Amino acid sequence: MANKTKTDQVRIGIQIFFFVLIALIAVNHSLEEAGIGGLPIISSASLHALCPFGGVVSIYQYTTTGSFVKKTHESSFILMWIVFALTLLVGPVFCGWVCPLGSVQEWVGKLGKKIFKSKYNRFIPYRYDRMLRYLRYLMLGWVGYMTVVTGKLFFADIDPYFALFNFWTGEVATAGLVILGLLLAASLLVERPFCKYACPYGAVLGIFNLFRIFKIKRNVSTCTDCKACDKSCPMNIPVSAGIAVRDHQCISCMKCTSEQACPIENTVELTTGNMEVIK
Amino acid sequence: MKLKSKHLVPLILVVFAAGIAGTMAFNLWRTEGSKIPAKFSTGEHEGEYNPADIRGSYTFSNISETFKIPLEDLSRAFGLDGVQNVAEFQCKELKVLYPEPEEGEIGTDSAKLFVALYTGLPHTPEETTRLPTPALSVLKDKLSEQELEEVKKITVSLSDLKPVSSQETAEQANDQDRAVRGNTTFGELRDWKLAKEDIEQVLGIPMGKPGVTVRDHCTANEIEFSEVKTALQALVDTKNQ
Repeated sequence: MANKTKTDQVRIGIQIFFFVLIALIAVNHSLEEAGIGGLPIISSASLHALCPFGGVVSIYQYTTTGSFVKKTHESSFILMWIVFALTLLVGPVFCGWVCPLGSVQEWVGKLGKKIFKSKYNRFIPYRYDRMLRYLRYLMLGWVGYMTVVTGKLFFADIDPYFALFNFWTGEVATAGLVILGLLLAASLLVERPFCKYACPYGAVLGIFNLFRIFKIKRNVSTCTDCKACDKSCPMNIPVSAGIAVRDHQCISCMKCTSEQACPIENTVELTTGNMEVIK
Repeated sequence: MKLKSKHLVPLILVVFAAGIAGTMAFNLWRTEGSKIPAKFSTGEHEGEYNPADIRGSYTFSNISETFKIPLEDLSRAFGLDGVQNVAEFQCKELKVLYPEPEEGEIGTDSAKLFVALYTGLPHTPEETTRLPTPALSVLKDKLSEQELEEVKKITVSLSDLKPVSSQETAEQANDQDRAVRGNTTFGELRDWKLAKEDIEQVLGIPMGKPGVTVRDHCTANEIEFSEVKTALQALVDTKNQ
């Protein structure tokens, strides 16, 4: 058990690292803008320049005109490719391990878990919840279309991630702050509500779950069908229902694996190859 | 092949670090705009800069250098006689300088249109885009009679406009009010009623030229800008109460 707790702490450590890094960069950017001078070593780039989703929404403009959507730069494109490479290899680890907004939702969710106990993250009946999960593809289509039409970073005004790290600057639209507030409140009831229902970038990365190289796989011959993997999944994926997780919502957090929730060794693993490899 | 959490940590960090460091090594990693518009990728003007890609943050100096248009022509076309530093004037400031034309608007798209007409490059302006009348006299040697007649239809007389002063323009465009920042120039400090002697007393050395930013001047003379900034801001606040 101690080892299992330690395993999750590894992920939490990385989440804290990226959260602090992005927070420092955001503060540094504000200091630089104010002409006060910034913190040494830390970048003072704008958050737009460091958002891989900025690269995704720039694809159309870049391929048609050779320029980027306003406020995005080469760095957004490069980060987009880096995240795509990682996701192709091991799934959306960006969502489960790196994205500071995902981390914040998860941390607030810990409080929700204490308040609502076993009801937490199970408020919406599965049959409705399953359909609602596709809302993020609508969001992706809408944001993508509006960005192409306006040539601007359309999502910025409603982006809770930008609001989270810029609420003190006066650059955040009221809509962004309201959405951030609602999101944090919703995180008390549902684990990672933005990731599940609204994140357009999560929608893009989720597609990689269909063909990623390393997949979460279940060894049917050793599985006792205890459903511990299902219960542990923050995205409510029924891991025990199949041999390999291909659900578009998987964030590769590893919570369902034999490292953590699964009580049987070598039964739920992040692996390549087929089930014989796991045995 | 299996991967554990302990493998994912170095994998994530190494892929990010290697990706960023690698692109930095090839000078591909940029987190700021180059202030250079995209080029036409096809057609008659292939390889030439596209005026349609001029952004609101581009200064007249950026436009002058990229499209080879003298700053004086840009200044004259847009009636910027009262503006202290035409080179650093940003396209988005046009909208603030001329907030209420009789019809349409004078803004970044006006700059795109002017550049297109001046250089003979194509650009389809917005229906509401207008040019100030002085632009006509600058363009008269560049356009045919017929073209000039067409342009006349979308010009707005400057006498009908009430341009705000140059320092107000800069302040409003930045949505900030007389705050000493890294990009504040000595010219702006003078506009904000600071005496040369007062500025030099704070600096402890002679002040720089009007177009030079205070921070650059401090850096060049090994002075801590953050300390100077606070003292200058106090002076600005006192003078503008």
